Amino acid sequence: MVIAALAGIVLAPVGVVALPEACPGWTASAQRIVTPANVFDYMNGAGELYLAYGFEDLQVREYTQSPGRRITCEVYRMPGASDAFGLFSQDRTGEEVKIGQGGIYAGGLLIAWQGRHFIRILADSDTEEVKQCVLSLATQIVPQCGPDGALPAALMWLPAKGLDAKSVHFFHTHACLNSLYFLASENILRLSRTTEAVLGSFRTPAGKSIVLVVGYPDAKETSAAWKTFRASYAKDASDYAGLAALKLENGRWLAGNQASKHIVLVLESPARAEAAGLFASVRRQLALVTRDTGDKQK
Amino acid sequence: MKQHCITRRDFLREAAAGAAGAAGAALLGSGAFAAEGSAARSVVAVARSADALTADLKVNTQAARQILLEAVAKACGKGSAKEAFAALFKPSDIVGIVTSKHMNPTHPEIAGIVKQQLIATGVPETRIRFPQSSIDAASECTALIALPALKAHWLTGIGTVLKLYILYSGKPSNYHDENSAKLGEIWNLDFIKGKTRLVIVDALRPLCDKGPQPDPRYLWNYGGIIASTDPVAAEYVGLRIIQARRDEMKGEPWPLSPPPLCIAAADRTYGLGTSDPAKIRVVKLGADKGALI
Repeated sequence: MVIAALAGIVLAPVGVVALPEACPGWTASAQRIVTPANVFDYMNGAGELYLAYGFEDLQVREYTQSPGRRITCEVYRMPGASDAFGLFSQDRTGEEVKIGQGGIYAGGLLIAWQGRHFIRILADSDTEEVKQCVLSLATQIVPQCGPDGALPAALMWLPAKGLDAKSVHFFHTHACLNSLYFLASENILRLSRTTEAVLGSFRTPAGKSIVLVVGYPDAKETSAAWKTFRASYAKDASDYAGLAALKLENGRWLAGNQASKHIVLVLESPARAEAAGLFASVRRQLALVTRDTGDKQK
Repeated sequence: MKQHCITRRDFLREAAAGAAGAAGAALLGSGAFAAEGSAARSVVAVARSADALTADLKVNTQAARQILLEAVAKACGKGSAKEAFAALFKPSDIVGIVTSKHMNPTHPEIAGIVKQQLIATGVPETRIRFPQSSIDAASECTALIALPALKAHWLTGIGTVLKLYILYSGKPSNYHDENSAKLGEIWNLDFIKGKTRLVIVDALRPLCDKGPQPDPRYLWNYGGIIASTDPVAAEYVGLRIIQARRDEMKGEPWPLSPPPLCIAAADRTYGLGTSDPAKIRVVKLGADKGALI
């Protein structure tokens, strides 16, 4: 402890990430903790995103430099690595940086994930000096975040061929889906913290298709979700065996069906054959990795 | 009030039909505005200055004051901001200036300019309030100025004018996600209904995605002030600017997600103003380049 104190490291309780004492030239505030109970005091209007991934606590520290420059460092402790990745997957626009298991830097913002932790560091300016400080903070934090965590198994539901890997999002809830791809104002797929979902784009010479796969806790819940989806979104579909080919109002195609514990939807595809082919490809992949082959087509 | 389920296919239908009608335009963020000289129901002024923000993103108070006063004057159809404020507020009023407090807040300099203008109008400083989230303080006011910052919101599409009063509901989470269409009902709560006489939107540096958390990938210098006496029309014009910025960034249509269902509902269900562009006249002041509208 004496050595740690001499090195300027704040010793936090076991399991809690101690945010760096400072960056050269910057003054650090005291580290504070935000929990689900007080998250709206800290970020009114934004806390729901982190609650949707089940965050357990958030460590925050601010670094200031005159005149009025600020870096806010946040480390979210999630229930597991899947949810840390899920937050990271919300938007991967920016420069890839080697921080933890994945990092993105853009305009003074760094996002990264390591193990069960999601790191978000935001500077209110973007100079080379600021960037180096932000990267330095993240580099000091990562070793405290434990070993590498596993990617969500749900990522394997999407076949690799044609998939734009950076477009893939992992999430649970209706609000997250609607912020990424608006489907309906109501929760017609019955998404919740107990469901897992992946959304991704596939690119082929014919154009872009968007695919959503949702995993449910059991077959009963899957069937209920499929029923509400059909009734709300595809009540005009005549193909009772599934949505193998439904033309949407914008000329694009919807294909989909349920398996025992999953719903597969090719939400928008440029052609009927493309939608059907992609749907079949996802179903094969799903059967391969989950052994869920049971069609429920009524 | 229970809103019926709106699906993506409803939007696609509207688009296929050419976005005819107020509902389609409000949902899609498209449609032509009322022509200059026409008898529009609402006027929204958009004033911009390249000097409103300095290179290090601080507010240039002099430039910001100028566009704010110009926007308010035009929005109220008056020759000057002094006349406009005098028409809207009396020295006997208790005026509440309601700003966006958290997450991409209203620039305090903008709130300061508005406060100074009220004082210049004759409203004593002791009768000017900042009733941010206090129901008691808002109740005490006889007039309100809605002064939010322009930003997208991940739960409600847009998180600017109509969402500004959400803390007055006492239950903000009741107005998120599928319930966001109901935001307008807060404006009709007894203690604030009819009090909002002026809307001024701080569009100096808006956020077009991932709001309300600040995200530099989607913040940009617009250098603008939007003003209107119609909160719905002001919100709608803000939406159009955000949507245009998104399309410009991606080089293709990038619809706001989720769509801001609250705007059409504020018009048709809660009667707070108009979301029909054909009934809104936009007065642009300042540089046209980058105006996005």
